[in-house]
Amino acid sequence: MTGRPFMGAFAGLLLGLFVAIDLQQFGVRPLDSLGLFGFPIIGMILGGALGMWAPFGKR
Amino acid sequence: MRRRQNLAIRAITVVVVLGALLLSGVAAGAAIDGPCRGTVTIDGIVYSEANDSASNPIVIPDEEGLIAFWEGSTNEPITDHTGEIGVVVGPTTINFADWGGDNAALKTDSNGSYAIDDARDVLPISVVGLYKVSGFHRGEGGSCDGSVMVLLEGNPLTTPVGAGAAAGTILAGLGVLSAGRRRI
Repeated sequence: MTGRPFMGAFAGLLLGLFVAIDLQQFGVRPLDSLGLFGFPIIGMILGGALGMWAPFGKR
Repeated sequence: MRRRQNLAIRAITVVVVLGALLLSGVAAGAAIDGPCRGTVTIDGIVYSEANDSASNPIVIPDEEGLIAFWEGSTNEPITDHTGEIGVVVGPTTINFADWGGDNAALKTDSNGSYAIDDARDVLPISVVGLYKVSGFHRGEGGSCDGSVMVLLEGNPLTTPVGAGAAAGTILAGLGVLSAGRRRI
């Protein structure tokens, strides 16, 4: 009984990339190397971990 | 099962801390290295190489008819020079202007003006947001490198990139939440 870690990692990668672009568009931080690679990596780990943990849904 | 959950919770804790560090960690750059100085005046506000951080950028308002008045100087004449300026995107810089010359008159300063609408007309789509602009000016007698931060004001949700990224964020977020649903 787990979630979908691989799907979570892929969706998290995309989420991190889009968050990095959002932050650049809204004037929070530029699209430098740290943002362009850092947020997708963080998103990938977050998504994969959420998929492993699977906290949502019925027990 | 419990071990996997503990591992996942630890991973989430680590990435939340890393994310907070990434959001707070836009430090000021080195402004300009070398014997060059410059200013630009936009909408009555004078900017310099000190405007090199996300919290203190060169602001370009979302208005038509703006003129940027620029001035530049070097301590000594730089002859047989070349220069480039571009926008930093990840590990690369997309150059949008370059120059060169022999500077036979041994000038140490220059000035001019530029219609910001001309730059907007060249772009295929409207863009807003925060950009790191980096450049150099090198030749016999000196070498300068530097960067500043430029904020193009406007509503991101009215631009193709901003609207697309906002939609992508929602869809990808739903994907992450969906991956966290328990399978039976």
